[in-house]
Amino acid sequence: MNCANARRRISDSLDGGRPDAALTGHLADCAACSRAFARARSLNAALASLPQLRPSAAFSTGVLAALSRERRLAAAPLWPLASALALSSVAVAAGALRLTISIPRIASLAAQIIGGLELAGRLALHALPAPRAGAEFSAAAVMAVALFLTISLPAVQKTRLTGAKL
Amino acid sequence: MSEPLDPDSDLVRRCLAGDESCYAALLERHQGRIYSFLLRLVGDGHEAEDLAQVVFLKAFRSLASFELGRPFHSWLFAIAHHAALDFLRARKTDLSLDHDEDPIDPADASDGPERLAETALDGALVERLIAALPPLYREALLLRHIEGLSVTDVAATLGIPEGTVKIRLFRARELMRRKWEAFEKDETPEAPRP
Repeated sequence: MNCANARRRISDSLDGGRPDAALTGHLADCAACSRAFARARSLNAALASLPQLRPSAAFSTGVLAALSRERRLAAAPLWPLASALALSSVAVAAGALRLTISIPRIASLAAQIIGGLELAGRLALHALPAPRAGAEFSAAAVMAVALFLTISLPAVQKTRLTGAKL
Repeated sequence: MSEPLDPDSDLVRRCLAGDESCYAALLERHQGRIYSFLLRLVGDGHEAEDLAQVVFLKAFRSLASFELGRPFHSWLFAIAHHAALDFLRARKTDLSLDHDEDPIDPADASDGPERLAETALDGALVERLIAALPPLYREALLLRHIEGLSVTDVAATLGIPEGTVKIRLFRARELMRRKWEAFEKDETPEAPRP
């Protein structure tokens, strides 16, 4: 057995194997490997006796508080988002219906709806006490719809009015 | 009649049944091990606490996926391993082992036993030797010798073959031994001239 093989077997012997006859024989003849074996065992013992370290006293309190916050958020009512979405659905439906009936009334109705949507979106963002990606995304989506309506409704109105004159 | 569950599995079962106090019990039982492992792996107390928090929150969120009856600490170490590697990669720590030299130095094998007197290994020196290891060797060594996992459990925790664990342990031990000897060389006072 050469020294390279002996070193690998020394390592294996520290993981539950026992030094076999070939390794024992080599260790008896090779002072360097014998010394490496003794050092490896010393290192093992030193590693095993290292103390377990403790996090700060605030650690467990912080983890449990974060967990509690997550669970509270998961159980929180989603009425602000639901309201915003319901309002936007009603607004779109009402707007579509009224387009065919009375164009001039749409402007005032749209302004009210858009104001309501924006308010609902902001409420949804602020009603929740801690960040939650889903809620933020939903609120952002509501506000995006509101913005879209703000831009597109006047154009639709204009088209309709122009069409009416023709 | 079913066999009684081990304490950790019993706590997990009670957590899943809605007993909130059991989260604190699980945390108390394992925070020291996870924090120690992460601290020795990333080398910074604040970062280790942040990572440990991530590990426990992730574990508690996915508690339903824990297989009752298996060692809970191994499951936590697997989560900690991924969290630590993500952190080290983000910190641009070199995790490759391609540059690794053969830890067996031929010159070393020819040295006589009288060359160096063995320095006692105190805790501070061992911590320094551990910190000098490449991270992937360090975590295998920490799990095997400080946390007391078997080679099989280390392999399962790290998601690598047992043979790879044995190679990492062998190289970690050889590197530590050589660093120890280098430290002794630096510390040994020169003999007085006649």
